[in-house]
Amino acid sequence: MRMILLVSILTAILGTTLYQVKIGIDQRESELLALERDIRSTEREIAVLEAEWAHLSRPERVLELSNRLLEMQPIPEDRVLPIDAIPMRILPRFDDPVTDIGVITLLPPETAPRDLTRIAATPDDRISLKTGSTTPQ
Amino acid sequence: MSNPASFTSRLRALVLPARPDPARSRRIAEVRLVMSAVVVFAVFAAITARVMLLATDEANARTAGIVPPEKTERGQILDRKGRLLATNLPITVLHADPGEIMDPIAAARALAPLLPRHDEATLTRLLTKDTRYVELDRKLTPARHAEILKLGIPGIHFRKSALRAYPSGRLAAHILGQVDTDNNGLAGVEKSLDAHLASGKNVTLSIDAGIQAIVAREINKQIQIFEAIGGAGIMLDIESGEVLALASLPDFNPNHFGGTDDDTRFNRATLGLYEMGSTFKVLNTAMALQAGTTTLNRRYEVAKPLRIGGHRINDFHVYDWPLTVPEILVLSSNIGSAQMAAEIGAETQQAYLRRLGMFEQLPLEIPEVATPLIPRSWRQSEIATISYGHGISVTPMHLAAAVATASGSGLWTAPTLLRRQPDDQPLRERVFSEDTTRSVRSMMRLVVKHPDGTGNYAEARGYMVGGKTGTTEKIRPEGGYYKNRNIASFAATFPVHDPRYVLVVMVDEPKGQKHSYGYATGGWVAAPAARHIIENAAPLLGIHPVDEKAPEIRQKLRLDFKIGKEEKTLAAF
Repeated sequence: MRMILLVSILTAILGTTLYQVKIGIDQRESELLALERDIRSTEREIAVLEAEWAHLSRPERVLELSNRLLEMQPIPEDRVLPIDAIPMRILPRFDDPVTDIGVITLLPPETAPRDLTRIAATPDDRISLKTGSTTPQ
Repeated sequence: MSNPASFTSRLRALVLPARPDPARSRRIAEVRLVMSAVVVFAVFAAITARVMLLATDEANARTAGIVPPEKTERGQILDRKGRLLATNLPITVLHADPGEIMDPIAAARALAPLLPRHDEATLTRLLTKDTRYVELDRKLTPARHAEILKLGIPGIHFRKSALRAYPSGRLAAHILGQVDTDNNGLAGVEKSLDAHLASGKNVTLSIDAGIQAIVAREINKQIQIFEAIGGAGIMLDIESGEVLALASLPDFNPNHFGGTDDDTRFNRATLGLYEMGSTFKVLNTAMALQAGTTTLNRRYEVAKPLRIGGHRINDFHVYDWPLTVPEILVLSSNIGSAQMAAEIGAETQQAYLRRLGMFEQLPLEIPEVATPLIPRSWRQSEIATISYGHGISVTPMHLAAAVATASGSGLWTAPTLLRRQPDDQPLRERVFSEDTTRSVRSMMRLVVKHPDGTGNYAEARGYMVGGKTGTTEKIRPEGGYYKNRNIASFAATFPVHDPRYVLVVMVDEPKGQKHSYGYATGGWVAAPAARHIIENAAPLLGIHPVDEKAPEIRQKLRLDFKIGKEEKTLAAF
């Protein structure tokens, strides 16, 4: 008797839980479906926008617009220089008696440093820089 | 009340009256218990069954509500920098089932004003057809869609579909190709990579949209100026064999493919076979140097026309002093080239041409590739004419790959229209030594740089352009040559001190103009286009102008060539 009662209560609990879970799954599935639909339509919209962007930024159109709206020309060869050809300014260092007084060192193009931080970090390089500034090799 | 026990027992007797016979009352209880259990189970069973029924019903209803899983969309085609060249746009297809339409005439009258493609008569005819499916419109706008829905005509249906769209318009149209209404590839990459695209995978081309646009625009300009019928342009990466630009003109808009004629669809760059003319002298020079049948300072007598096997070989200008090998290239002497080729011999010439890919179709990723036309018999006259690009018809693409070999690293690299992956091992074969290509490059530079060179108009200052002009008369289909129909071409390598790109420009049937003194040659027509292309494209390619007199540039080239008679000798560097 007690057994039957226990089993039926258990069955009822299990049944209810199962039902709840099932309802939950259904709900989630429809949420998932809605999300998937959403994603798909958003993807489609993105594809349309990307196509529109590609259409509007097509070189043919950009060329035409730039010719009409911007007064730009191909860069002549004498306007382009390699970065090494620009004399670099050495930033003053406060613990260094030479650069601390604000000496601006102009270097010949061959020795112009590409990486100022690295050069300033090692003492040996700094010495060669100083000599390099007065007597280029 | 004085006895609590008796109170409880009385209460108990009230709720559960004592049965006269315990055994009988037990039986009654048992029967009741079983009955109630049966009822409870029956009710639960009914509920369970109903719940299950509902659940499956619901699931069925839900699956029915899902839009059928969409067909995988066709993959996109992108340029080497990820810019969109071909994609899909969602569209609505309007179709009808004539069997379901009750009043076709009224339906046609209602629909006609909304469908610009049809008038009432054609619509009536369509709607009375003895079939279950007629397509009324493929590209329905959302507004039209709503209006037609509002008409509420039975038998009119809508279907979501995807339209293949080419957002960049005519850019690279010949490479992309087209699809039919069912999205099957018809031409170009759309056809050759149809299975790959249909499975939803993207394709990344080696094409750079910016450079492609520049090449097409500049060649188009020359076509306009010289009233030509067409042209082609190719930019090739020497190291990887990647095609950065491949233009065939006239071109078309693949979005409105229907109205284009065959000539417009024809890919002149990979399917058109032309005698490329003097640009072949670059290859002839490289062969002779590599085979060791000549040296740079060897001189050839070119004052008189050459007679070989009934052929008379002339030069455009007469040079009354013996020309060196560099002079033959820079001054473009046919007579000198023919003599160099005679020394090379038929077998060696064929072997080199074969290794330069001139005997076969190129392994390009489009179906529109042509097999070159080579002479059937290889006699003295064929050896001679091939040296200056006559008697052999190849595509501009063949020429580009061969010039890349002769003026680049000496390796023939299979050209490709797909972007190379870092671990790709392109098909390549050594044909010329580095030393040979360095000499060839230096000579090509003089063609452009030296005042007597034929390619002066290709000089893009600072970009170290080397090149070779070519002008040929077109072949008559019935044999012989047209007198006034030319192919003007220019093959360029830049920068010559560090060769990275090859550019081939070809203009089909240019007419001489007043400003060109009636000339329609490679030097007048194709070379200026090459210059403008290089000037515009170099910044996109990351090539910076250099100072030609700088020692680190000079040491990469040969400088000891003498061009012209002794008294006006000018080493151009």
